[in-house]
This record gives sequence, C-alpha cells and structure tokens, in this order.
Amino acid sequence: MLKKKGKDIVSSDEDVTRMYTSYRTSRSKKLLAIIILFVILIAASLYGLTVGSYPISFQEVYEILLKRLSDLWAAIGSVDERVVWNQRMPRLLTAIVAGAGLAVAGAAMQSMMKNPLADPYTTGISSGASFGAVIAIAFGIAIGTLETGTTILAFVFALVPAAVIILLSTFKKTSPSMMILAGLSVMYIFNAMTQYMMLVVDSETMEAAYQWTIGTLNKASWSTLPIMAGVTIVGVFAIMCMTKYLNAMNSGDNYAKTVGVNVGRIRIFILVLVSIIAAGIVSFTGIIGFVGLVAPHITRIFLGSDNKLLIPGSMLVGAIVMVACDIVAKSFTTVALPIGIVTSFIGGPVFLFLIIRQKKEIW
Amino acid sequence: MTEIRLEKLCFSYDPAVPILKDIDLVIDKPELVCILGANGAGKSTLMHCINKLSIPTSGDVYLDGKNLKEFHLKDLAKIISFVPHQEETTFSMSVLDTVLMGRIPHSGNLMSSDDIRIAAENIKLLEMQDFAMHNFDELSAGQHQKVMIARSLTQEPKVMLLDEPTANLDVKYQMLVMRMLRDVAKIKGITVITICHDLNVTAMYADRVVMLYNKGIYADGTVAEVLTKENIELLYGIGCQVMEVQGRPHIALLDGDELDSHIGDNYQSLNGGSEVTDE
Repeated sequence: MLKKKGKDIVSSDEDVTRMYTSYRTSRSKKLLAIIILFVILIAASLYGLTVGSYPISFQEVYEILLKRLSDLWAAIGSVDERVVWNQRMPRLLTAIVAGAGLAVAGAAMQSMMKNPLADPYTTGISSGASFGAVIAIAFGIAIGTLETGTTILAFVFALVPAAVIILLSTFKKTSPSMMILAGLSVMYIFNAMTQYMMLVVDSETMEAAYQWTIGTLNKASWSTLPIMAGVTIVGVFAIMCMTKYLNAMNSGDNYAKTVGVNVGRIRIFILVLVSIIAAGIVSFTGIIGFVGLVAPHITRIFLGSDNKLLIPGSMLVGAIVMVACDIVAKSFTTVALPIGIVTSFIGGPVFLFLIIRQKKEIW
Repeated sequence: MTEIRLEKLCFSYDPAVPILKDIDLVIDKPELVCILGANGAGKSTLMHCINKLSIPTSGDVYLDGKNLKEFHLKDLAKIISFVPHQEETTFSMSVLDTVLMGRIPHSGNLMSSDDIRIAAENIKLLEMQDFAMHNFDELSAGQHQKVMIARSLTQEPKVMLLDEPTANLDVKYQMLVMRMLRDVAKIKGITVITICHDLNVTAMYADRVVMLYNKGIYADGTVAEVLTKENIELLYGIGCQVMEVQGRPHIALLDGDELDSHIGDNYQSLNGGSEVTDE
C-alpha cells in the first residue's frame, strides 16, 4: 500500500519507491544548481561594481554600497559615491535585467517553436526596433526628449512583427515554422527600410542611428531601469506560469492538444510576452545578440529541458553572461565597449562549441 | 466506461476527394478495438476526429451523449488520451519527466507526490523502471513507444487512442503491448482504440475489429467475423489463408500474382524488363 509521510511517499513496490526517490534527488540537485547560479550571479555582480575606468578600491565600493543600502534617499556626496551608485549600479542592474529577460524569452521561444535557433530576434523584433529608432533619430521625433522618442518608437516597431504574425494567424493556422518565416519576412522588409533611411540621412544622423543599433549599457540610468525591469519581471513571471504548456508543446502540437493545451492561443500569448520583454529591453539598450540564443542552451547542459527548471535557470545564466560580458567590456578599454559587440564576440564561439558537443542532431 | 458515438461523420481536405464518408459507429464497451485499413484509408483521420485533432467536415461525434464540439480541450484531455505514431520531442527530458506530462490535464504547474507515483507505476507497468532517469533521446524506438504508452496511461483516461503503438516494437513486445492494452481495457474499464497493421497481433488480442475500406466502415465485429479471407483479400488486394490457432484466426499472407499490379515499371526494370517471377 502507498501512504504519504509529509512530502515523501512510501510504496510497497520497491521499483516505484526507487524511481520516486531518484526523481526527488535529481530535482534537489537541480535546485541546488539554481542556487549556485544565483550565488555566482551575486559574486559576479559584486565584482562587476568594482570594475571601471574610474579607479575605486574594492573596500570603497562596498562601503559606499552598504551606506546607500542603509539609507537609499540620502544625498550623494563624493564623486566615488556618484560613480558607484549613479553609474555602475544602474548599469549592473540593467545588465542583469536585460540578460535575464532575453534568456527567458529565448528559452520560451525555443521550446514553443521547437527550434534550437529561435531567439527573441527570430520574429523580427530587433529589425523592428532598429527601424523605429532610426525613424526617430532621422526625423528628430522627440517625445519629451529625442532619447525618449527613440525608445518609444523602437518599442512600438519592435512589436510590429508580433502583430503581423497575430494578424496572419486569424487567416491561417500558425505553425512554428510559419511564425519564424513570417518573422524573417518582416525582418527583411524592416532591414531594407532601415538601410534606405541610412542612405538618405546625413552622416551625423547616420552615425547616431548606427550607434543605437549596437547594444550598449552606457545609457543605463535609474530613470530607465524601473520601466525595463517592470516589463521584464511581469513578462518572465507570466512565462513561468506557462512552463507546463511549453513542455507539452515541445512534444508536438498534436500531443499538446491532447493534454488540453490550446496550442494556437498559448503560442500567440507567449509570442506577445516574448516580444514585449525583448522590445522593453532593446528599446533601452539597443540590439544585444546571442544572450537569448546561447543562455538557454548552456542551461540545458546541467538542468535539462524541463521548462520548469530551464526558465529560471536560463534567467540566471543570461544575467551572469551579461554581467560577465560587461566586466569584459569595461576591462579592456578606457571607454566601455558596447556590450552588443562583446556578447556576439564571445557568444559566437560558445554557440559553435555547443553545436559541436551536441549529443542529438537537433540542428 | 464512456460511450463514443459517431453519426454520419464525413471528413475531407478537398470536397472533391472525401477521406471518410458517412461513418456511423458506436463503441460502448471497455474493450480493445482495433482499426484496420490499407494505407490512406482514413484510420488516423478517424482517430483524430474522436479527439478533436481534426474537425469533421460534417456529422457529429458524441461522448456519453454530449457533442464533442461542446468539450473544451482540457476537459476532453481528462477523458481521452492519445499516443501519436511518433514522438516529436525536440529537447528531450528524462523518461519520468516525459511520462509526467500525462498529468498535465490533472495538475497545476507543479507535480504532486501522487502525480509522480502514478507516473512511476505506469513506467513499471511497461517495464521501463531501469530507464526512468535516462534521457528520452537515449532510448530505442521501441522504448520510445513504451514511454509514450506509459505517458498515455498516466493521463488516467477513460478512452485511450493509439496510432500504431506496436509499429517499432519487436514481436515479443508487440504481443506484450497488445495484451497489456486488452487487460487495461478490462481491468481499468477503459475503452482502448488502436490502429494496427499486423493482422495476426490484431487477431490474437482484439475484442473488436473495425475495418475501413472505400471511405467507410466495411466490416465491424469480432476478430472471427471481420478477419476473413474475403475481407482481407478485398482490403489489401493480396492473397491469404485464414486458419484457426488457439481459437482465433491466424492469417498466412501469400505472395502471388495480385502483387504484380502494384509493382511499377521501375521495379520491373530491375529484372531486366522481364516480369517478376519466382524463377
């Protein structure tokens, strides 16, 4: 007979008990891995705060940090304090939010589309955002300021591909391949329009537009962080609530339907969430490549493909990758490199390594 | 026990080419029902019309008197489970995690101890306990099939639909799975409907056989009633002999002239342009 003892279960059947125990042990190990990832993120973040062109010692950084945390609203006194609290801290938090958000969006896209190459940009989000930003810069569209106008237009245009896919889905059943192909079509259209805009504007505007398309954390500030973090937290939380649907969809649309998943509706809902998360991030940072693609694959190596663990794991790995890349970006030059360059430069070889070491031929 | 009733069911992708036409069928006993038919006869389509994967062009499906159109997918998933012909997983999980997906219609986002127990019991039932923590990718095609059947049982359905569940299994496991499906139907009171291509395995274990031919149901009854020489020869266009073994029909298929009409010119050319003969 089976009976429950608290959370544990005892069975007269040895095999069932053994499987149950193995499963619980495996889960515990994976949860421990998530805790370790969290510790690594904290450690990387604390180290990241000490890195920068302005020399501040470890001890000074942490003294400033402790002082600020004990009284968040106290006036900022020294230059050191301004650098740590007003520059490095929002930059660090922006890196964490961007990395976590893009990685979760990538993991959700890959499971939903059953495609290891899917990432937040597969649906044309980045090209939409670039076009929006270039339009704002080229025509000087200021909503309050030119910077706000650029951000808002980038956000709005980043959502256009998702809108096109949703519109298409009202006429035709949306398969994963169709969504990717529709995203690619929109991407080519936006790219063509962006390139045309770049040709007709003056060199100064062109340079400003080009700068925007390279992802950077240099503009991170306390004022932009709450919107970006708010959008990301809500989106990530909503995706976490749908992990069992993502697992089922990974087994094919037909199977997912037979366990009660309204595949068409869930796919559109996740697409909207992913688009909002990615748009919320890129509209502030510009295009940051590879994190959304690579972080979920790294996470699968030690946490497996169950989205219940993959999503939180990817969130932490994405954040760690971004913080690490930012440390690299700040370490080699006096002016920090745009992080988009670093993530792509490091992400490319890492992805190549993952392709080579894959066990199953999913590519 | 759930009664499945199909009334005047028709299905087609193109109105000019019907796949199923005026199907009337009632399945109201917890038994093992095998659907037989040649390739393209509409077996999978018929199954998909029962679990709402396909919507009939006309006609209706009723579950315990309630029209299938009135069921939400989640409610339907608590009644009908499905074993697809082939698993399409891209990012594979452990066997236990895969089987646990069968609990999705019953559970929240997190699996309870009972969910894990039910999954483990079904894994054991299919003799896969030694592979419970193995990755699904690492298994053979036959083992995949067994995992999918365990997952389907974990859904605790009243009706199980299986699309060729024995396709990748060796002879022993074909018999084991079919016997298990027959026993599950009887012991758990589940209606098990399966598509099967092996006539002898069907003859050995099926309680009822539904034979599809010419877009409709050609024969429906016990194995002795349906698996006759005439029916098989008509259905597949090949010669056969039917004898009785262990009180059930046993079919011996015969290589004969009937196959010649299905052999194309390209194959004929392999034999130097001559006709295929035994000489």
